[in-house]
Amino acid sequence: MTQENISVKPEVVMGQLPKPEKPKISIKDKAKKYWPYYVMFLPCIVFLVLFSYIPMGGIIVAFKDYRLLKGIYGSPFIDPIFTHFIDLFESPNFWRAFCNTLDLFALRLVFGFPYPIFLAVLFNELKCAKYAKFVQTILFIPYFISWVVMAGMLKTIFNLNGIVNQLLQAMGFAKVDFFQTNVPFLILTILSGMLKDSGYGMIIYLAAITGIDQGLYEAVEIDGGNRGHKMWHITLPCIKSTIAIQLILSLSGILNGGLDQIYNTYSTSVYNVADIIDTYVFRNISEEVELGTALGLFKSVISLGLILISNKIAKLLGGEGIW
Amino acid sequence: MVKSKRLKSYNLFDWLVVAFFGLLVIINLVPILNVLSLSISENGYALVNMSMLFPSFSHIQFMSYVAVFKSTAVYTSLLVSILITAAATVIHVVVAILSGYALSIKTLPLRRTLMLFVLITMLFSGGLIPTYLTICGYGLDNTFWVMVLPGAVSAYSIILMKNFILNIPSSLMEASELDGANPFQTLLYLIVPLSVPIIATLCLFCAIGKWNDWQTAEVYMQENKVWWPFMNVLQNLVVDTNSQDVVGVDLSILGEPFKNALIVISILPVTVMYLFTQKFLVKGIFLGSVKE
Repeated sequence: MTQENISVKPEVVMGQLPKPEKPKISIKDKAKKYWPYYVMFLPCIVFLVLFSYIPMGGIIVAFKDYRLLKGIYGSPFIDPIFTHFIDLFESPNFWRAFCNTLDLFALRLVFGFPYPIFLAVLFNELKCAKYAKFVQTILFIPYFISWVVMAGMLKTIFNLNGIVNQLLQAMGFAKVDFFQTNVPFLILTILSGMLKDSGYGMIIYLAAITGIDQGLYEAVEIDGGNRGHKMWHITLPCIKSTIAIQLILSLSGILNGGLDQIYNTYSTSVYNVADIIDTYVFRNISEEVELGTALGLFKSVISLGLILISNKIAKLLGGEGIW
Repeated sequence: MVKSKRLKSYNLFDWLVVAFFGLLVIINLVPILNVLSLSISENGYALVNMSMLFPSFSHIQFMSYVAVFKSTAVYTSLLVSILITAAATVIHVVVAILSGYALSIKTLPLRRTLMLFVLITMLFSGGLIPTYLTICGYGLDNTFWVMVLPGAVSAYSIILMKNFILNIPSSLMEASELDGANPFQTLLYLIVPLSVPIIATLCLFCAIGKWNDWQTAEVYMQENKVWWPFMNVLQNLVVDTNSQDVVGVDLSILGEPFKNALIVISILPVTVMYLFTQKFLVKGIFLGSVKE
């Protein structure tokens, strides 16, 4: 009771003036002014509801005993409700796919993530503008080539009689069957991924680098610093926030092993390192509907959690988040 | 004279950087040269010299390209791919412009809610199988439209578009409002012409994404292979070597050159599109990704 009495009209207690009231616009006037924008937004709503939100409702299948004829909503719930998840966590194939996905992510984080940063910083040191433009054009091309085609080309080049094996032989090494042995397959996967995506990553970091105040570099020069100092003490710290954002974005893809890439290059003999969550679901799309849905839900929830947490951390550390 | 002076100022480090990027360029070009020369060589010669970078003049043929365009399966699939790419890109860009513009109006009531509505689809999705079941429920499976509609609108593009429009000076929009333009006119005559870099970037990414898309047809078009896009025909031939019966071409005569000709044909439009929109690309990616 006493608390309520105290909290009456805080603005009077604090001695502040009451806030000036905003000129009220009636809903009718607002509707008159803003209806065109809602009309513009309508197609987006239709598409996203039909192809994003309604499929989200389909996740309910993970808790159901799915019957094709009864459909998503007509099928009965399964008892106990977490049966599919228990099945999933008891399946050795799931754990293999899960661990492989994490392994691939770790490898990509260690090698693939710093690579475009390294490229961008070095690229910034190119003095001849024409050469730089040429290099950038060529490096960007693989980003636009589909993994189907990349896989086709990789299978030619890393073939037992292809260029790479002939080079290996010329250097006195034994031939390697890159598509049938575990470790070479992983190396190939990481390297081809780096090659394909580095052009795009480089542009993002380069954009950040061009925004750096040139005065900072002059300051280093006056202090007697060399180019190494400039790169380490100016360029890298200045693109810190871009790096953080890219890191967050890549964290959210921790369970995206890259279906396109793996599905087009792997074979049964490398399943032990190459079968990831995505390929596992993709192969069993029509056979294990509930299990695949459960796995998809598991993946989505973990990704969402990770992106929310890492965005929070980025903001706490004083950087900019994604939103 | 000026040039040689500039070259003299290069120290060892500069040359190392130049050489490093030169090496990367070579690594990028080798596969393309390899595929190109395999595609115009005779089959027997190609099989023995899988690693060639330049074709031998005495073993050149262009029959593989003729065979590609004689194969009904291949050229229908090319047509299908072009149709999909065109339709999806138009929808993608138009919706991105419309909704990006609406979201860029800062005084719009419910703006934050609409933003959230778009953002959620970026952070969370139903996953492959629920989406599959839903779309089959619409009766879209095994039709042309399943390859156009489901992925046509992307939250990411809408947000890029919104951010780009927010960077346009608001005084311009006020001026057009004062001149009596309604929102649709402002959009058409002011925003669209000023947003050419981001529109070109979105077109490029969407068009290339659709041209390269094979998953959709792999999942949804299993019973309607007549309408298969080019990537799936290619995948069947080149990657999935178990099933070579789709294109109706006798691969024993033209096997390797034929496959490599398909690869060349699939790369060509992508590269051309990229080279044409390149000058907008950096601007589009960069300006669009700046937060409000």
